[in-house]
Amino acid sequence: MVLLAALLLAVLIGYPVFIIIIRSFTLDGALSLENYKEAFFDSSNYKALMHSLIVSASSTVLATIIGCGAAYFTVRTDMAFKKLVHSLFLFNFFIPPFIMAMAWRQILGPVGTVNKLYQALTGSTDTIINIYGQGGIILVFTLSSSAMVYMVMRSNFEKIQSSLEEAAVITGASPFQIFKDIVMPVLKPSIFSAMILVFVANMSNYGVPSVLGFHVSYYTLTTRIRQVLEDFSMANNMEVAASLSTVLVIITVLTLTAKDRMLKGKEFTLITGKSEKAAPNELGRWRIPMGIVWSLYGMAISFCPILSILATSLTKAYGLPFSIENFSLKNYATVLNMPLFQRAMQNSLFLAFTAAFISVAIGFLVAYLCVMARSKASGILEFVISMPAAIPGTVMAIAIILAWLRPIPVLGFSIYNTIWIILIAYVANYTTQAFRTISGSMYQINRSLEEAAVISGAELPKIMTSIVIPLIKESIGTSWFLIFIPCLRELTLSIFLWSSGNETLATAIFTLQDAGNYTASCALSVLIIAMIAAVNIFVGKVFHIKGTVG
Amino acid sequence: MSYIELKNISKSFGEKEVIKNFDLSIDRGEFISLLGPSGCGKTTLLRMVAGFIDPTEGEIIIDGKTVFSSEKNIYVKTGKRNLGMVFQSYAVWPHMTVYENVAYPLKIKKLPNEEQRERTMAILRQVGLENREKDYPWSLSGGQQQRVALARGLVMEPSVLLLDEPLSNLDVQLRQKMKEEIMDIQKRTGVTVIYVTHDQSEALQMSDRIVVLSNGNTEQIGTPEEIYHQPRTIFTANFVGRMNFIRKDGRTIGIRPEYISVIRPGDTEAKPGSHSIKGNLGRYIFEGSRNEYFFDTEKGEISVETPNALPLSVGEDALLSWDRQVDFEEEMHEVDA
Ligand SMILES: Nc1ncnc2c1ncn2[C@@H]1O[C@H](COP(=O)(O)OP(=O)(O)OP(=O)(O)O)[C@@H](O)[C@H]1O
Ligand SMILES: [Mg+2]
Repeated sequence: MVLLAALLLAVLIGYPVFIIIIRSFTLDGALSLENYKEAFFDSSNYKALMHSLIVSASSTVLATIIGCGAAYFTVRTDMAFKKLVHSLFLFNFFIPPFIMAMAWRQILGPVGTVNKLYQALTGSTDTIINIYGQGGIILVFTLSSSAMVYMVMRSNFEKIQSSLEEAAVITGASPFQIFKDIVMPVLKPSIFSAMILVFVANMSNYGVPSVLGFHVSYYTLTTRIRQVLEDFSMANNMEVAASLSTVLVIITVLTLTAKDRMLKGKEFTLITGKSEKAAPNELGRWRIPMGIVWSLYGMAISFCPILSILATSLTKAYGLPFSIENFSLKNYATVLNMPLFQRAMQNSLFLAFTAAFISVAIGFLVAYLCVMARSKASGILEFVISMPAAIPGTVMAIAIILAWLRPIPVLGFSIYNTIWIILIAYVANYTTQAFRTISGSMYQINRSLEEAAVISGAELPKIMTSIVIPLIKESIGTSWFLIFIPCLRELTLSIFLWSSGNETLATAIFTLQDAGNYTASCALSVLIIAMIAAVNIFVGKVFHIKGTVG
Repeated sequence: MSYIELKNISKSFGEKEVIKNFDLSIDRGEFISLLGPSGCGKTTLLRMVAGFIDPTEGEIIIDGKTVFSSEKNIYVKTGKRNLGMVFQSYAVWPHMTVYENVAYPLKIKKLPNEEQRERTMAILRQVGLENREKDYPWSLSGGQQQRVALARGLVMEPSVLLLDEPLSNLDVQLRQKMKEEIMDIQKRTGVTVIYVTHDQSEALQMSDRIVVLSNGNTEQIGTPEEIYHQPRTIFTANFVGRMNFIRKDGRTIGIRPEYISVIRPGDTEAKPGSHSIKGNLGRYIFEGSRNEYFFDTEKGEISVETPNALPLSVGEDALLSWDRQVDFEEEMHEVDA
């Protein structure tokens, strides 16, 4: 079994990662640093790296401030409309960032709602706002990521005991001193890890810069990698793409390691007794204005984008104002009847179902070997299966292409340009999540079993079927959905690997957009969001977990 | 005039009246306990003294200064009342060392650095943590953390130290030790203390005076001896120690189990006390330092506590007699027994 697991992980994850590193150091069959030289010294590549750092860093800072603020006001004050603000932030999770980008492009693009409104009001033909480029990417990243920070910080604000603050109030410290000396330092580690989470997510994001950047030749690392990959005029385009990918991985790995280093020993275990419930801080006359400000922001991250694509999807033709006489459901009929849609729907459902099953199976197997059976190889198995956590989707896609482009030895055919390569990429990317969820719950069970001192090699299979599996059924189900949902709308891997006939829902939206069929692409977006929301609500009901998403 | 005065304090949360017309005067250096069952309003009272909650009505005076008055519309902020407070959950700041925790109040008051250092080290010595000054709270035990909280509460030499069930998170053995330490520190510093607890033994052992509360009403204020031997209400008698109740002419008589002596039939030497009743030994519990006997009598079961074992076996008759007893004006209710 160890062998099987090792083989699976080696083929799925180990080999592609190995090959991408090797390729990045190879030129014309010889070891060389030439590709890296090109990756760093070609000004387009260098610029893309800078762009990535700029948009990720600035959106991280903005999203952190906004997300922390939203969490603070909804948890620790008596602000008005708290429930509404909370729901709006939650709703944002159903909107994939690339759809968010498309929606905001419709609002703030050169022919977007705002410019049209301005032109209608003034009669001018100027545009006053243009979402393309750096500013727009930062905007959409910030809007999306602030919801992520909000969710993380909310629970942290809830955990902080009011007596910690009251102990400072007694000393005569001012509210500002309390915030600076007590609240911030206590929350600092969790704010810091939220920031890292956001930074890495935005660094690795492909959808947003591709929607808002390509058009004006503004590239980030991820979109630049795509461009290099497709630039067949370069002799070593694959190799340069591989080295750019390696650079991206190094950045994410460094960031994640820095986080672990800095947080070591700093995760305060707050000693909890009967914890006093915090009295919300009174805002006085700012109660309602604050509520309005945050509700408006909540609208910006959920209602506005939804409304914008919903309006377009219900309009007869793109560009017409949304009104009764232009109202039409025909876009939905068009989409539903489109062979492209039907294929994409079928493919995405098949891929999400199968990838979730296989990922969970592999995750379960490896978790079993590492946690329950304590295999000698558990160190290396755990390391390999955890690698994808630090590998951006773009890089994973390149690695998979490099690994599977050539015909498979012995069998003699290539799976490149088939649906199977997408499936392999999904599994390689998501199995780490299944492993984490399942091994976590196995670990808990294992400890209590150890206390009961019943475990011995011979009894293991019996214990597995009679005790462990029944106990972790729920976490297996949860991890299945935690993979199924993001796969349904997966963009980054699919956009690199899809081929005609093997479209996914997300690539279909891109295809429709590229063909200028905005009304249909909006209708499809609405369908996807509705589907994600429905599955999420179903999962929340069944498994009592919130904010699954992905 | 007394050092701290609570005058006619009432507090309602919405419709619910949690504290009703509460009056209390405290002398300088006194150790006062607020004792009562869960939900009786102890914490609410303490937090009103601290200024975290405003009374609906009443006046609070600390050290000659009115810090709250509903009539004169006075409210002095918590930070300006010169208080120390120790919380049930310790509330030691996790990101600061022991020294930084204790020195923080002095830092806020902008004392010169040398003085901060001196006073912090002095108080750390008092609580026995002088060699842990550089440690972080997570490396300390629960008892040590509570000592940090105590030191932090005392470092400003506050007019009054407020403690809200400071021992309830500690295990039994540590609790006894901390009890003695708190009393010791209070004696040495002479600080006035208001101590909230629902543990009668803490209140009896530590306090100069005890305030017994039930449902927001003061049941009795008195020294531990008064509370124990002269409880004024059945509630107090029941809540502090154990007591036998006997119904008599629409009133109630209370007898502590250790007030009663047992006279065996045929024992002619023993002189019965001023009150007596016949009983039959029903059951008996041995608890090491004391023995408890339950007699069935015409007035119901009566328990007797003696340090030495009685030469009596279950089923035998005896005469229970006593001199000391408590008269209650109230009629006993079934639930009180
Ligand atoms: N902010 C509040 N709003 C409404 N009711 C409250 C509030 N704070 C306390 N109460 C109520 O007032 C009553 C007294 O509460 P308090 O916390 O003072 O009790 P306590 O004697 O300290 O109890 P415990 O021993 O459980 O700590 C309780 O019935 C409680 O439910
Ligand atoms: Mg309380």
